[in-house]
Amino acid sequence: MFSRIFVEKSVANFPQVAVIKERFSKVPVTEIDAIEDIFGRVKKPYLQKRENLQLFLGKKKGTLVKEAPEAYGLAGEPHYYFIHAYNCIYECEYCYLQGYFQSPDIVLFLNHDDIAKEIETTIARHENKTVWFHAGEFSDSLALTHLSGELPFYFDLFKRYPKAKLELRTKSANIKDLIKMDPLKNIITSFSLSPEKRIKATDLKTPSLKHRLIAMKKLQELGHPIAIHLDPIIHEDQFLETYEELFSELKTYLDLNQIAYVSMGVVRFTSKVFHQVKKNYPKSELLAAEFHSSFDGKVRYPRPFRLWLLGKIKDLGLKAGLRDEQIYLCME
Amino acid sequence: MSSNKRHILLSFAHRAEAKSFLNELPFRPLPGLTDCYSLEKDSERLSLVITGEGRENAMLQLSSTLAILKERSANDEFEVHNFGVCGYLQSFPSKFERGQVLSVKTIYAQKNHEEMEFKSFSSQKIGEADLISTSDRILSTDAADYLSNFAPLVDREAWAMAYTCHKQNIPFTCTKVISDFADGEICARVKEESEQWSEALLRHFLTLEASESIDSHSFKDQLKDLHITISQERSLNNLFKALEIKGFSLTEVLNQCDYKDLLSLEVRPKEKTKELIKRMGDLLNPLEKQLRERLNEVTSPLQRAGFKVRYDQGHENDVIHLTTSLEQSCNINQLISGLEEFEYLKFKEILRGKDV
Repeated sequence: MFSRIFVEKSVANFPQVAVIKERFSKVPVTEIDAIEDIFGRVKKPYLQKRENLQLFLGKKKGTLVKEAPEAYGLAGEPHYYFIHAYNCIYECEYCYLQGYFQSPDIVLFLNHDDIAKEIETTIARHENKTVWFHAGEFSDSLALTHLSGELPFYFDLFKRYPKAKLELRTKSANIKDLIKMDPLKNIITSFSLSPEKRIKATDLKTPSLKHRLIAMKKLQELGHPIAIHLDPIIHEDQFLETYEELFSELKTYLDLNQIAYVSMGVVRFTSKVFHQVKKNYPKSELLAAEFHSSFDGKVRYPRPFRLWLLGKIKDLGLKAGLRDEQIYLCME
Repeated sequence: MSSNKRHILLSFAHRAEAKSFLNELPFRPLPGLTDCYSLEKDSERLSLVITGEGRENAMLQLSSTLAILKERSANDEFEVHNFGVCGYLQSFPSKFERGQVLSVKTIYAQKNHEEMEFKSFSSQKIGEADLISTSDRILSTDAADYLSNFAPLVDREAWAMAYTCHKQNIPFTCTKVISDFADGEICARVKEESEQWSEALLRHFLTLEASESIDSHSFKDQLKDLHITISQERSLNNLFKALEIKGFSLTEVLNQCDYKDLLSLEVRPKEKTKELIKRMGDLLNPLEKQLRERLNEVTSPLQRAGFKVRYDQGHENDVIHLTTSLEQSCNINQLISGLEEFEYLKFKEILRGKDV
């Protein structure tokens, strides 16, 4: 998986480093003073992740918990994300991480104690309110948890703050470590889903829909709260049929009534990311889509289509048995 | 030298690296240019330039050569292919061997002893290894170890050549043969063995040449009955590329756009091209076509009354912009009845995505 591992001196003695080194015993390890001496120092093309993906282990400096953009989650409650990793092992053609860090290499930050302190300070600032924390703004929250090993730490933390909520956003089916945890009502694992055909076409290297559904079913059976992101919604021929099928599979595997929430969002790009898509995936179906530069500079479908797509999918969800209050529209 | 041809400029830092190319291929010196040669083939032109060592020389010589060649063959489609020797940093984890010929993926540059340039350039073709163009010859293990954090190969010129091409929007590729281990003892030995490295590079180049085929059947050849302006050509090209992604062949596109019917239209040739662009656009964007038709339908009373109708880009607001000119008082009633007949709520529903 990794061609090389760089370990920051500050974390060289962390137990998790030993675990990772043992797991990748054949991968060369280089000790460095600071991640930023190497990572992002040169512009490494995004698709080098296919043959030359490197892993960096170190400490995150600076702000560790940040306010989430508007319409990030359920409205009316404060939302924050925390940063414990950069980049992702998957390769979704629409992903905003393309070019975001000028390097596709994976960075895992191991100073969870520092992140926890900032989370606690943030909770204290919003006394008596439900504060949401999202893991995975710059990475997938579950895909590498068997390596990074932070789940027990965050379960302990959020057990002490039952009013605060933690969302683990993922496209993976890697629940190996998660199922070892006792479920907590305030830790929600949310799965981003698309119809199988779409996953194969654009969500390269991600687990199949079936694998994700099996993982979700397992979690639901164990009592872990789960949520769904139908995001990004991409139009295609037979669009309604494929989503009808998706809802029917959801119904087969899950108790929809127990789903914490379902968010829906139509595909959108910043112009910078769209440029990266053109560069990295010149044959992508996305480049033949009916996009326009929108009111906020983002590239997306014209508003009537977006609203039509969202309306249709919401209708399908309601028909499948979801309740209106379970559904919210993301970033719209 | 005026017809439109593929023009490959081979760039070398040292004459010794280019020796086999100059001996084995019928290159002739280019009049008025130092260290520059050319040869003409049926389908393409080949030129060769020797830039001298280091980033400054490479950048200056390559850019001035390109400027002169472009002046002489303005319609040519240029590509630059750099060939040369490189060193291999042994502390890099992946292993390579002396004499190995490698296509370079991404080229980085060393700014000075302890810093890297942020800018990098990637080859147009699939590569096998990354390379750093260093500011000086590598004389210490420390320097080699630091550089090996970024890439396994080192040279002195490729980054400058890639930068020059990037600035001029010219495709750039790079092929290197590993001549040494960048351990400070390079020069004499590399010189001794230069013939061998040059031969290896030539062999690689000839293999590349043989494997490349040039697609001469562009869509333009098939649309020779139309008059196509440069901007229309760009639009057609983009539309065709996008339709190709959707699985359409050129024949299918022309059939779906009723090309034969289009040719029989009694309009100017340029207008026919415009109509083809519109039809291809509708084929590519069926939802947009549907939306346009629905909006036309709902705004038809306004248009009949004499209003020009315009919407916000991407229909981001429920707004309709109307413009008109008044010449006679009887027009006022016509406009009023147009406005009365117009169903704004229906218009709004369409923009809110109802039954698009």
